[in-house]
Amino acid sequence: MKNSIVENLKKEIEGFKKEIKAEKIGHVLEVGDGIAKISGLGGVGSQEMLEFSAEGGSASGGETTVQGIAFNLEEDSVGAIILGDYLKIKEGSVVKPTGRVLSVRVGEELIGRVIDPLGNPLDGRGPIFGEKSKEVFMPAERLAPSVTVRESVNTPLHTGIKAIDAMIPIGRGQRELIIGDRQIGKTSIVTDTIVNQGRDTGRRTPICIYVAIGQKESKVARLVATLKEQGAMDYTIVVSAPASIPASLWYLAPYSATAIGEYFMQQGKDALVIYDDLSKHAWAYRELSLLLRRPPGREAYPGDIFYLHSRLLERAAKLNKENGGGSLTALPIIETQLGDVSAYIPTNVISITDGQIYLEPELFFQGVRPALNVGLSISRVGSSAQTKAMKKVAGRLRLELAQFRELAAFAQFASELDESTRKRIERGRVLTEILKQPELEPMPYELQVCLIYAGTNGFLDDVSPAEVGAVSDKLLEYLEKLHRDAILGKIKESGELAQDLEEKLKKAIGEFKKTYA
Amino acid sequence: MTKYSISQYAAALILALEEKSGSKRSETIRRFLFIVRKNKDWSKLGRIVKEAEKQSLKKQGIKKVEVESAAPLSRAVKKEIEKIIGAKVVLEEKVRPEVLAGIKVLVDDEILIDASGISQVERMFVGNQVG
Repeated sequence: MKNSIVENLKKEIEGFKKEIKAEKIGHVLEVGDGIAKISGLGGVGSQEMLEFSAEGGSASGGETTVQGIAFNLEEDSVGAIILGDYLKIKEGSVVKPTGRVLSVRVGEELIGRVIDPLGNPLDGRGPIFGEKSKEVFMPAERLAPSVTVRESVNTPLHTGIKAIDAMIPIGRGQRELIIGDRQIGKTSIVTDTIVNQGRDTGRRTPICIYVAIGQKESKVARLVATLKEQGAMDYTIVVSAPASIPASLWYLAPYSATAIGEYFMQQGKDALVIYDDLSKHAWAYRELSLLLRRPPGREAYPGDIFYLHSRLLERAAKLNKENGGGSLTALPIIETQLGDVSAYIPTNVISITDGQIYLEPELFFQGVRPALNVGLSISRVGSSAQTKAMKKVAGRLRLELAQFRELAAFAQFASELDESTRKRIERGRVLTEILKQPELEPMPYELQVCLIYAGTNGFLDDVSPAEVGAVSDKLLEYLEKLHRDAILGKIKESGELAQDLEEKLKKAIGEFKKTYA
Repeated sequence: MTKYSISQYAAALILALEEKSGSKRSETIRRFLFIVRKNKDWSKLGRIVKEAEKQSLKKQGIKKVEVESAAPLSRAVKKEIEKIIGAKVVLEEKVRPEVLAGIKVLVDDEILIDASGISQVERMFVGNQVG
């Protein structure tokens, strides 16, 4: 074994090419808190990658390099952010420009791995790319696809959550914001969505990329374990920028992840990127801007905080057939403080995305989970991203829930109201119960169609709200066992609820009720 | 109170010192320090001096060269460096045994020619992790 090491070394030494060139360098004037001020570097461009020579590294007392990005180009100095441990850099350290912008190495080998925003593996499973892997780099910052290469969103991205797939449908290529207070179920929705992609076998599985920005490491570890358990890591990449790493890496994480997603989109595949969450991303950018002495604006955010998110989210698109037909769907998450959606960052991101899923604490504590506010949540892509079957049954769902909400105040006096009002309230209660769903139990859309059909056509009106959950579970079990191919399979295959299929479904539900009752 | 940049201070200092000698020189310097203190820019003084040195050398067409080597350089090597750089040279020598071999040349604090042994060795093994 010793010999092979020596052989390798010999080969390295022989194959090594000497490179001596004159390069323009700079010296660090000030360093601290993740940023550095550099003198010299006259020819450096904005957003150019820099290399800081720092202390530490090999035993010879030599130096390691820490990377950075040139942010501020001032008259006699350059302000740069440091992508790594700034404690090793000293005043007077040499800084070299690299002549390129930040890019991430991408490839199929990334799938199933947990990486940091610079592409280094964090899951302890060794290097990501082997020696024979093709070297493909995607730039972290890139122009969004233009109007001519896009087409309108037409394929559904099923989340497996009944309330969302029925009333706030998401399509491939859309941006849908998930907004709510802390501990309200935002991450649960995206976890269920990722798990459901593996189960929604009617369509090709998108590559899911989960970006953890500023999260607790324990939360990220738990999420990865859950995804592994559910078999979702076979098509998922996790880009982790946990709370302990510098703010500059928090700032980069969404852009690196989008670059990875664009790689798959360009190949004609579907990709799903989840940014959890963009509020912390905005904090990181604010921190860097304030340290670099950029003037603070509203809520101390810098002036270009809108551009920070708009250029990120505009990269999500559905490409037309001439350009491969791939798509990149974005699900950004924003955490509000006490439900204030009119704060600066939430309003910014709401105006960028194609709709929002609004989670309310009141509903959460009433037991409605997912705590979706159907009235305020919207999907601007709407039914063009729904299967025909779902469109048919869910059209009335939204209306009936809206009517129920209007009458909700009178629900306390249910016994003193006229027949039709009382019926509406009962129906509304039943539908609300149907839409409740536990965590990590995404439902395939054909089952959703049947269940919602049963609800909106009055088949569950005679069941008390407390028992609707159990009854609907039994109904779906019944359909799965006895009518899998005849009904469920047909719905899945055709995506439609044709007349004869509807009759069959009606009959099946009737039979079920007889046996149950 | 207007903000002056470091290069503006340095340029002003150099202009003020032009063609002054002896006691007039020290008087001018004293006045300059007074103004820097008045403008509350005392903390920038170190950088102003550095910048003034740089600008003054540039004006005179002299290049400042710092050389790091493992052992003191011979006169022949120094002459060679001067010839290659082209212009008149103010040479500063640093002996650092960590360099192992070769020399590192830094011109005007801006251009680095790294022909040292240590950086070659590091580049050779940076991608090669043995064991």
